[in-house]
Amino acid sequence: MLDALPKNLLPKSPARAPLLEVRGLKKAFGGMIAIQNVDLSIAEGSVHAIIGPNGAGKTTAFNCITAFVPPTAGTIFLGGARIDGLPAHVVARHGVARTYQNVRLFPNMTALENVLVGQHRRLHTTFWEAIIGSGRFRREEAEARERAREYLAFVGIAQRAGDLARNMPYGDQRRLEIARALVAGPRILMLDEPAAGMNPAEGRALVELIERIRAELGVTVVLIEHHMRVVMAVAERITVFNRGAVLTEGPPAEIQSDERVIEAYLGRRSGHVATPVVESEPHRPMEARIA
Amino acid sequence: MSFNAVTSSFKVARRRKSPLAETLQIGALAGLAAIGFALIGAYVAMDKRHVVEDTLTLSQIAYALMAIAAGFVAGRDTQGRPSGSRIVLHGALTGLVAGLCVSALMLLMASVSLRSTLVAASPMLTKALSLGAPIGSLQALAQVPILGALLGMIGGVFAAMPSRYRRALTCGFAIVLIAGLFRDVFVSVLDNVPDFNGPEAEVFGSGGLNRVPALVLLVAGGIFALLRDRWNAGHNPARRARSSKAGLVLLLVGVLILPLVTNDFVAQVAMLVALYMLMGMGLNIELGLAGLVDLGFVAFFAVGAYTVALMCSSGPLALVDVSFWVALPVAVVLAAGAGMLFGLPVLRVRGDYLAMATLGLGEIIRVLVLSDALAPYLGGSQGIIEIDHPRIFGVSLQSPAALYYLALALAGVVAFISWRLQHARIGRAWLAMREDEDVAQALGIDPVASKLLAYTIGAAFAGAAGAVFAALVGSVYPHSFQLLVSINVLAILVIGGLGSLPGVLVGAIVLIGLPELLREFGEFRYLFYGIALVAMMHMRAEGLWPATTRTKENARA
Repeated sequence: MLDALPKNLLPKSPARAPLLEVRGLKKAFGGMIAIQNVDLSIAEGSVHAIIGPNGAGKTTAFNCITAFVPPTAGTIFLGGARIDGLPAHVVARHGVARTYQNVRLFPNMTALENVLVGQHRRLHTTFWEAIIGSGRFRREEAEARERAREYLAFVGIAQRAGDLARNMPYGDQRRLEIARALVAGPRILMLDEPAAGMNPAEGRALVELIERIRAELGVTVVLIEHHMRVVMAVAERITVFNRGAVLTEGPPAEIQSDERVIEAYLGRRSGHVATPVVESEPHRPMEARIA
Repeated sequence: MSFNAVTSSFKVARRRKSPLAETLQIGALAGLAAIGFALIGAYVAMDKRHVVEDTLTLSQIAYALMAIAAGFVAGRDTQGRPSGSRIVLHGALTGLVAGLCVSALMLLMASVSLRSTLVAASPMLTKALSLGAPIGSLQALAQVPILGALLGMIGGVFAAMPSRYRRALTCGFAIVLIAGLFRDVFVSVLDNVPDFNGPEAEVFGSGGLNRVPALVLLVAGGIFALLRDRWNAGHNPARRARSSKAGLVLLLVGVLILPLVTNDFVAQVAMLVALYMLMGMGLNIELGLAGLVDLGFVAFFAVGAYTVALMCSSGPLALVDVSFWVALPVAVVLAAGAGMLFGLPVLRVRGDYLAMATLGLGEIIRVLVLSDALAPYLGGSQGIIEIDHPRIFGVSLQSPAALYYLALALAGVVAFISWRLQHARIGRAWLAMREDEDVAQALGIDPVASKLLAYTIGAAFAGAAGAVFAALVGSVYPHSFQLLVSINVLAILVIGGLGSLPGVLVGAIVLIGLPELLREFGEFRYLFYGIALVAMMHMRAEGLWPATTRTKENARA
């Protein structure tokens, strides 16, 4: 399967050049500063997790990197090319793909069509060729459908190809969103809470999927996640956010025993207690989310 | 149409109440609807139209439908309780209440003159509502509630009977209504059948169906529906799909031969429908696929029409006098260019703001062509006249039928292009943009570029429609390019089903064809647009012929 794809199996070693380089990132919404002085360095071919309490600015950082919102200050480099200040679709063309905290599929399109839309920047037939129905157009369409099916199979939902996205079970919607992001052939995949609302078994399947994305497709993965089991199982490095800034960064074992991280999650010993593993949003039906 | 409106208004009003109070309320609502219908003048206007000669007029049918609908809703709401007689009783009660409301109106009109404020409350209305009884007599006042009760009872029975029979009755009734309303069309068809002298005189009277043929049609329609149900029940879904496909083919054949078998008036109406279809397909790309709410669509229609007018007229304002076939591509290109030019600044705004911006654009074009400054070139309010008819192989396309085929052929081409684009990379990008613009952009779709393309293609199609319009009318005036044209096209899409190509055909027939053929509706045309739109949103928000909901089967392709 996935013959068309590069199978550059990368070794799981720490010393690699950074693919994504963020320096001094700042985002202010009016007077409210969401993030400030954020530095991130994501090694090529790694799986990097971003954790932190709610409201720490993790998703805002994601949104700045993918140009969903323009950053107030700071620079972002992807593989040496500066991508901050570019419109979102150009950033996407540089090889940045993402998923969303609240799954954002095209609800009235089928799973297959969602993945076909994801291939937008891989297809090249022009408007005129489409009208005439040229040979190239038909060949490319056939290839696109074939590729869409491969990716649906890759994330494990091949049997759902013809289902409308909004009618799919929640877990499959999450998988479809990943397939849609991957099919564009990105260099870096940014997952915003991929395990939210998943049970332990689904969480283990997700860990396996992320491993395969890195190993089989050679795509660098950054994920925001609250489920510590998932984070510890999959991440090579972890960056901890707190109050709009990077608190610390390091390999999982180091983070797990870091006093400051525990404090950020639990508060000081005298303060009131918050749950360390914040269960994120419960399962909600698609309709509620797109409303 | 009034049937739909009445039932949908009941839906809103229905709450958990005692059955009696609910029944009375439904009756009162139907009564109010009936009073409103009379006081806007619709009753008198439609009373002139005989559906069944000397027996039933259109307005009587409208009233009967209101009472039956009220009885139906009341009967349906009491269902689940055991007694059948109770359903009938509730139905009768609603009809009675509705009828009493109408009687009260008659009584009021008899004692007080309402004419100074309500023009339609005329003696003609009183006479029409009296149904031939002496005006103001007890008989006139009593017969309406009694009739109402009877009809309400029928509505109740209707709700209680098995759906098989309900469908059969509805089908038979619909056939009678269509045959009666479109008498002129059918008579013109029968006229054209050679060696078949004068059967229309027996079937149709001077205004509508004769009584016996009406009864025959009612029974035949009912039997047909029963047989069809039987056929569908007895066979597998594949065969059912084939029979519905056969229906579609029949419809297409009808569309193709229509102007040949009827008279020029019907062909002219058909031509108008085809023209709106052409525009509808253009807007369908913008609104149905890309989700751009464009209220200035008429602007590009005007550009196309004026281009042909300036290039093909033998009048004094003409720049050149070339063939229509040369002017048509020029018109399309100019309209597309205008679309691109206006699209660039306008398409950066989203949603409702886009509607506002395009609305302004449509008005700008209309004001420009009307202006004195441009009058030496565009003729101002005098317009441009003496536009040549298109010629094909030396034959001038002058008859409405020929022009109908011209418009239809163009609509076919446009439909083909839309269909192809819909299933290509760009069409998927449009759909994605409509669903979630931010996500689409994050997938690498340039939102402004793809919107601009949709807008430009839509404008080009509108330009083609404008070119045909100029050629078939033979003259263009600024007043042909009002906001209402844009709104009509928009309504066609909503009624037919956004993003659906057959929906455009159905919408254009329902909203453009029917009102043209039913001249009585003329004055109330926009009222019925409104009612139809509200009713559609309530009961069938996806349109009459919605875009296919794709299922597993389709995805196999």
